Amino acid sequence: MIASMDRTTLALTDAETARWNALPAALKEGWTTERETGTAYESAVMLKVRAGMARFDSFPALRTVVAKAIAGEKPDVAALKGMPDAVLPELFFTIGAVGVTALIAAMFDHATTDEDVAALAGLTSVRRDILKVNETVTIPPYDVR
Amino acid sequence: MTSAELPGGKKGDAGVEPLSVQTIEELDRHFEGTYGKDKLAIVKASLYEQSGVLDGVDERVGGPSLREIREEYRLHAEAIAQKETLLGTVWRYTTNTVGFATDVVTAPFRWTWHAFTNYPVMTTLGIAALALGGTAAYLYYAGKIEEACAALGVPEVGKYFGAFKDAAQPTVDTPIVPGGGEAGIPGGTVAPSAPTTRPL
Repeated sequence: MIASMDRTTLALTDAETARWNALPAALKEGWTTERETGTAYESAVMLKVRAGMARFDSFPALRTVVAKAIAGEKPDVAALKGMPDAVLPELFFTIGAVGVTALIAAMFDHATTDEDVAALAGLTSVRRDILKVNETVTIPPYDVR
Repeated sequence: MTSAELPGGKKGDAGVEPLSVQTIEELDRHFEGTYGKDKLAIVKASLYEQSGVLDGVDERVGGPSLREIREEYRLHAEAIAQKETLLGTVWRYTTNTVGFATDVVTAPFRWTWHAFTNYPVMTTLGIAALALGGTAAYLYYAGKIEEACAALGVPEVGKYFGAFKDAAQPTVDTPIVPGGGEAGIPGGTVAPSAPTTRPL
């Protein structure tokens, strides 16, 4: 089963919609937008739990670079050249909708081609999937005393 | 402040020690080994039956309470379920072998891969997000993510992490402090999600 959002649609927050509206008309041609209404963003503690679960066995260099960053070394992005795309699902789950929203914000700064807009659409689709799962796959906290 | 001073690297910071578990079986083995079979059974009965079994049960003096153990278990079980659903069902993609093994990655991942390939800032941002999550820096630097990114050596991406606050205020779990750790972080309880409990 693949995420079923329309491939020509971007799901944007209100702030992102404002940025989208500011893009050149030629760049936006052929794309549609809808409002991202999901609110189930991860808590900081949940992001920490996910980070502990992260497995990048197919690309151990990523974990090495992250560990070095935590230790204060500026990440060597060049060391991640050749990172397989198979890493992306694990990466997106781990950083959550919070992290993907940051990626979307950065992509808006760099969107100048149709491929860039496609990347934006892909990221919003990924975020929507994460938000839906965050909302529906839950174990309620303890409320009874 | 340097990245070495970023909190979250040791148990007690943000209250939860993240576990390298991928399945409920692994989670159960860890909790059984740490807290014992009886406590694990009590915690799971309370978690999945929501019957208030923890009421009236004496909490271990000097150690984490059953409520705290339960919350730690719940967080990890929930993450496992979410990961299984996303990676195992929603994002399942096909693998084809054409001559030599290749992965056929469907949209939207193929599109997002374009971003990582052409814009190094996206990879830097991904690394920073992993580091911020792993160190629980979001908890401590909700208003000062730029400082956290500077400590990680990537100040240029700090500005992007404020974007999620425009969308929704993320909930902050009540910190679990097994054994009475250092974190004295005020926080609310997790906002109730959709009342769907996925049996595991």
